[in-house]
Amino acid sequence: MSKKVISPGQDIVASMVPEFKKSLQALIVEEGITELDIDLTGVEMVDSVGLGAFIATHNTLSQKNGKLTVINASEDIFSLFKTMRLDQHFEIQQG
Amino acid sequence: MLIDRETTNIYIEETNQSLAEIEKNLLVLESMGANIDMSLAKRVYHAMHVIRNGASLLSFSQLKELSQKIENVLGLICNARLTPNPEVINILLQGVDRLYQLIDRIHSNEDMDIDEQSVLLTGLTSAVLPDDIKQSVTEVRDIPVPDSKHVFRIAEFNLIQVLEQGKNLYILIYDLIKDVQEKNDTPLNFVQLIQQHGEMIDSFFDIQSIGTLEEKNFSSEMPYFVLFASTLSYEQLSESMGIQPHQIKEVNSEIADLIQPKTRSKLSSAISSHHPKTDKKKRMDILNDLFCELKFAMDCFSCNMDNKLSVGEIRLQSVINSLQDLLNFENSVLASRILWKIGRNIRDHAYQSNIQAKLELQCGLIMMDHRILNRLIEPVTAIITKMTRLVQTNTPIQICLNMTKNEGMIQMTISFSNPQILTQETHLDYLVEEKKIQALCANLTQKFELKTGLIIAIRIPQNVFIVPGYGVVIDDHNYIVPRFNVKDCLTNLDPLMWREKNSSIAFNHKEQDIPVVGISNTDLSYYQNKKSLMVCEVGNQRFGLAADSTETFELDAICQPLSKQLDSNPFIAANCLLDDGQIAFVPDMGFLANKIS
Repeated sequence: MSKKVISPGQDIVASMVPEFKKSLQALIVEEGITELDIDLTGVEMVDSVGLGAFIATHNTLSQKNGKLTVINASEDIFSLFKTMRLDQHFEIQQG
Repeated sequence: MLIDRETTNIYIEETNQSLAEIEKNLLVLESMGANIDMSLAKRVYHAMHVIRNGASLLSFSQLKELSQKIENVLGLICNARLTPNPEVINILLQGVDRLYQLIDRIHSNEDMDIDEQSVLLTGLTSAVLPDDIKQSVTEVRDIPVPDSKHVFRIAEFNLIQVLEQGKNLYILIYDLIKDVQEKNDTPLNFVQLIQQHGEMIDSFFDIQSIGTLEEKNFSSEMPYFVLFASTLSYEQLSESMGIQPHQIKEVNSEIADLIQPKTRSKLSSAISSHHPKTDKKKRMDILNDLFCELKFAMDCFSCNMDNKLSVGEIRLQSVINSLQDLLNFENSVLASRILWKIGRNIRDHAYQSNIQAKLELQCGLIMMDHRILNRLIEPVTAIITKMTRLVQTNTPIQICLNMTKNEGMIQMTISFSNPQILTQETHLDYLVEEKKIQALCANLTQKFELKTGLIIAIRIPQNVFIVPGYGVVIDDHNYIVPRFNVKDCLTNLDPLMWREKNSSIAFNHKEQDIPVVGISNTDLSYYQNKKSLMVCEVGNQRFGLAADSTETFELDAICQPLSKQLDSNPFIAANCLLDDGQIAFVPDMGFLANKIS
């Protein structure tokens, strides 16, 4: 099991998702990371495509018996993830 | 949060008020036994329903779950399926106590489980239901999502509640890419819009169809399904939420066997959009602080003028008096609105000790400062508990707490309804409670006569001078520093940061020297042993007050102004007693500020 924390440091929105997705892919597929923490410090907004990126990351890690954890989520984002029941798929921690 | 912090604060304030009302009414329901007042039971049910709706709207999942379970039990009482006997009320009260705790920690990230209360409430619900409904509490119903392999799995009892509230049940079908992203909307707004129209009972993404990071068609679709309860009709929902009819599936028929839906009625929203009471407590705190500062300043003035006040000072004094009247009025509540809690405590004590004890509260229309009333609860409960222990087990005990008012003093007497219940002269040992009562500027006495039995009397001024402040220890003496003057409290002081210049002392904090004033004149080594520094402000004068205690405690000190009497000790403005009987002084912050300048 190898663990890594990634900190996007900006809103997870459609315009940045392609690059974000590439870095996530590099970590999981190429580096073999199976325990990934996404640190949402400084992230104020997640749009629908951004939500998709989280779910896709979870799906990718699940295939490799890995685990996604979202840490330091703002109150808004934490509550959004909980309301949308995403906490049933991966762990979400409020900042 | 999906809803802003101000709305959450309104919810907290209103829920705390509602819970107090529910708790009080549960005790009344318990005393009624089988002959319950149905309108009262329905009021309690409705109050819990509003709490549950609010929790749902604000996505407080544990609050929602627990209040739902309490609501289920209350619903059974309203439908006369369950008698509110002491066992039932005890379980409900435990649930209410947990709700208080959940509300208290709403802003913290602390996890609290509700397992114990949930098990008891669910057990209660299922135990009293007829066999055909009993299973609904634990039975889960699958509600299939049309044209999909997915299902929602929901406890049947919760679905019955939805129908009994006259709501319709829908499945809303979305694609977050098409319905949100391509409409330049955000998921946050999208969820808020749904919640404004009803209750999201459950929801899920079809996460498999979203795929993995390696999928080429990543983010082309994001199917999202919501199981939704609303009083709105199919057409109204479609119109007001701006979604296509094919995205809404009414599923009442799927659960029609559980119960026939009743007449639709619109339920009022749990949260109002504007509430003038939002920050009343904060405003009152500020007003209380300002009053104390003004009163101390005026005491200082009049002390220097040999009681001969100028016209200006007389005008100021009249402002202070009027302000005091206003504050007394604003802080006053009906004593019964707070002291009923003693009845709850005695009820719990009786239940746990397996004795029959009941408190009869006779407060009439007496009004008192809520801060005094709240501090009376603990010692008076302890005194009454001790009284119950004087009586032989198995003897039913009724204790009467009577309040009367006479010339600005409130007399509270506590006695057995049956004076002959004690056959020989008995006195209570209440040293600990007496200190707590004396800290309220009140006194406690007891007398025993064969005719009247044991009578405990508390005499307490109706209006007192309350100084909200922080308690610290300086040179082995207790001090209460008025909250208005305290701007910060520094701890873990670095001894090297103390400065001495021209026989005055300062502490260097964040590259700024804070002038420090001592209660007595001392040298640098005296300060280097101090553990904390309260940063205070009087007017535009900022200074530090060094203390020996590392932790300050906040309290509403019931004070006696002293400045006029203590010419020889000009830095003390007032004194008070603490709950443990120790004396504490309120420093004259103006005098200390003058020492600096």
